[in-house]
Amino acid sequence: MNDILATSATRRDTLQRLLGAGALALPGVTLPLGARADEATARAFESQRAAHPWTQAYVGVQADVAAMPMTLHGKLPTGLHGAFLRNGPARHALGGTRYHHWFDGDGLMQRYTLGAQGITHEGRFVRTEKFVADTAAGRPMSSGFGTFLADAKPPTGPDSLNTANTSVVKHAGELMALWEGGSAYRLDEKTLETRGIKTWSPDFAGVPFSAHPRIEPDGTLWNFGVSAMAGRLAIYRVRPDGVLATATTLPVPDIAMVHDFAVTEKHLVFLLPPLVFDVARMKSGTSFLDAHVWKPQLGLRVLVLPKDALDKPQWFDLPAGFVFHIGNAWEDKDGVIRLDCMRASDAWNATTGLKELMRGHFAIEEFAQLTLIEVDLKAKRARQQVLPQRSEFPRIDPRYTGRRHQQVFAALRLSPGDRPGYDAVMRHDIGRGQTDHYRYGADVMVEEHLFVPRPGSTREGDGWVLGSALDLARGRTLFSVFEAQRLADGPVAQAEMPRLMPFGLHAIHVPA
Amino acid sequence: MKLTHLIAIAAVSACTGGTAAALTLTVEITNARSAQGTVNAALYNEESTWLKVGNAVQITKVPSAGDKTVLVFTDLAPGRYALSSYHDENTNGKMDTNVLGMPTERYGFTGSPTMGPPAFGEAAVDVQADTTLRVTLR
Repeated sequence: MNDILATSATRRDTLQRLLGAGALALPGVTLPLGARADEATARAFESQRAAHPWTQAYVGVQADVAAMPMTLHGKLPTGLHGAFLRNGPARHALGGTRYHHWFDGDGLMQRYTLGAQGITHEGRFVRTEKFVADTAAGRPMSSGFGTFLADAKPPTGPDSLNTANTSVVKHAGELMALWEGGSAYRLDEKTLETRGIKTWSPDFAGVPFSAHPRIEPDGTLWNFGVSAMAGRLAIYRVRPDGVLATATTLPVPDIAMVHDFAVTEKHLVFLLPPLVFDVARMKSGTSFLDAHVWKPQLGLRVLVLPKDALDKPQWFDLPAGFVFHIGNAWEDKDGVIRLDCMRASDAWNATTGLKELMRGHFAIEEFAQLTLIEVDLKAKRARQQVLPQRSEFPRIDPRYTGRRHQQVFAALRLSPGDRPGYDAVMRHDIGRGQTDHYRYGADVMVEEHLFVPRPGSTREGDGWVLGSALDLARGRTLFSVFEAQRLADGPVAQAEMPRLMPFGLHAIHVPA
Repeated sequence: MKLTHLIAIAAVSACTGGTAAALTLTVEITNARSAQGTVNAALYNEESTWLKVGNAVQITKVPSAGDKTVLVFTDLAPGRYALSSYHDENTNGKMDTNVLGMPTERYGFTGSPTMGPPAFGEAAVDVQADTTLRVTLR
C-alpha cells in the first residue's frame, strides 16, 4: 500500500521552492529550515537582552496574567471608574520558536480596573483558533503576518492565522478583540473569556474586519477590511444596536496595506500607502508582509467614498509615504476634508524595523510624524503638511469623531536615546499649532494614551488622558491619569506594579 | 501456521495483484472542524472533467467523523486520480463561501495543497495498486 501524506509533500515542495530561490542560506544541516530560522531569531534576541533594557518590552509572556493590585499615588477621579482595556501581541515565542515580527504574537487582553479601591491589573490571552492549536502543539503551527514557517500547516482561511492581537472595541454591549486580517473575536466582558468569532452576516463570514472601527457620536460603527487575495475592500456599517446595516465590497486596484481609516459626516477616507500586495509573491512561499512590494511611483493614494454612494470612489494623490494611524477627519463647508495622521516617508518600520526588534536590534531610521492633510473635493486635489512631532497612536476626544476637532493626543518621541518607542505623551492643538507634553523620561517606554471625556461636559478635550508605560530601569509598569488640558503638570494619579508587561497596542476605556 | 500464511497471501492477492482492474482507493480526510454534517468528495481521472462534479468517476458522501473520516472508492481501473472534497458542515449540499468567494467550509484536494484550487495535474496521484491517501482539509 502506498501511504502518501499531503502534509509531507507540502513541506518538501516548500523547502524546494525556498532552496531554489536561494532565500535561505544558513549553516547546519540537521534541522528543518523553518526551525533553524526561528531559533536564530530567538538566539539573536537573547544575545542582545543584557545590553539593551528595552528588549524587556518584547520578551512576551507565556500565560494569562494573574490579577495584581497596583500601588496608587494620588486619587482617581470618580468619573473615571471603569475599565481600561489594552490589547497587544504578547506571546512572541513558543517552544523555542520566536516570531520574526512584533505583530505575530498572540493577543493578550489586559485590563486595568479603576475603582474606589484603586487600580488592579490582569491579563488574559484571546483563545483564538491559532492560540489553541499552537498551545496544544507546543510550537507555532502556522505562519503569521510577518513570519513564514516553511513547515507550517496550510491555512484554512484568514481566521486560522488570526491572533486577535491589535485592538479592542465595545459596541452595542459586545466586547471584541480585533485583528485586521480576519474576524473580530467576542469576549466576555466580566471574565475576558473568549466566546468565539463574530460573524456579521453569513455572506461576510471570515471577511476581514479591521482593528480600527470608527464609532460616530450617534453610536453608528463603521469599519473596513482589506482582502488582499481578492483585491477588494470590504465596508461595514453597524447600527448603534449592533445590527449590520450595510456591508459591501469594492475592487481596489493595487490593493495596499491599510491599517486605519477615517469617517467624516459625509465620507469615508482611506490612505493607501504604496505597499502593494503581490499575489505571485505570496504563492511563491513568503509571509503575508513580505508578499507586499514598496512601489513609491504610486504615491500615497487617498480614497474617498461617499457614505451614501460607496460604489462611487474618488481618488486623490499625495507624495509616497506610509501611514499606520489616523487621528480624525472632518470636512468644512467648502468641501475640504481635513485629516491628521502619523506619516513616515516609507514603510521601513513596518517591513524591517518591527522585525529587527524581535532580534533585539534597534536602528534609528525615520519615525512617523504628525501630518495634516487637506483633501479638496471640489478642486480635486490633496496636499499635506508634515509637522516636526515624531509621534504615534493618535487619539481624539471621541465625541468629535468625524466632526471638527482641534486636539490630538499621542505618544511622543522626544529623546529616549538608542531605543525604540516613545518617552512622552502630548496634546497637540491643531488650530493654534501648540503642543503640551509630559515627558516620563528616557527609561520609560510610553504606550498609547487615551482621552476620556469628563462626564457631563461637552467641550472638546475636557477630561482626562490615561495610559500605561513601561519603566524599563525599574522593571515596573505604570498607569497614569492626567488632566487633559494640563499634561505638563504631570499625572494627577499614577499607579505602578512590579512587573513589566509586553509593549501593547490599542486600548479603550469602558465606564463603570 | 502454514495455513494462516497462505490465507494472508490470498488476501493480499485479492486486494492487489489478483484483481488489477478493480482497485480500492481509501482517502483519510483530516482536520474537519467538527463531527457534524458530511464529508463530500468527488474523484476525477482526467483534466477535462476536473471539478465538474457531474462528470466525476465516483462521488461519495460520508457522515463526518471529526478527526478522521474515511472514504472508500472501489472498482477503480489503474490510472491517475484526483480528489476534491469538502466538509458540508450544515448539510446544505454545497460548499459555502463568503462574499469574496472564500470558502467558509473546509475543503481539500489530493496532491500538494496550493493557494486556491489546484490543476488536475497538481492534485492527481498515480493509483496502480490499492492505495491510501490522506487529505488535510483547509
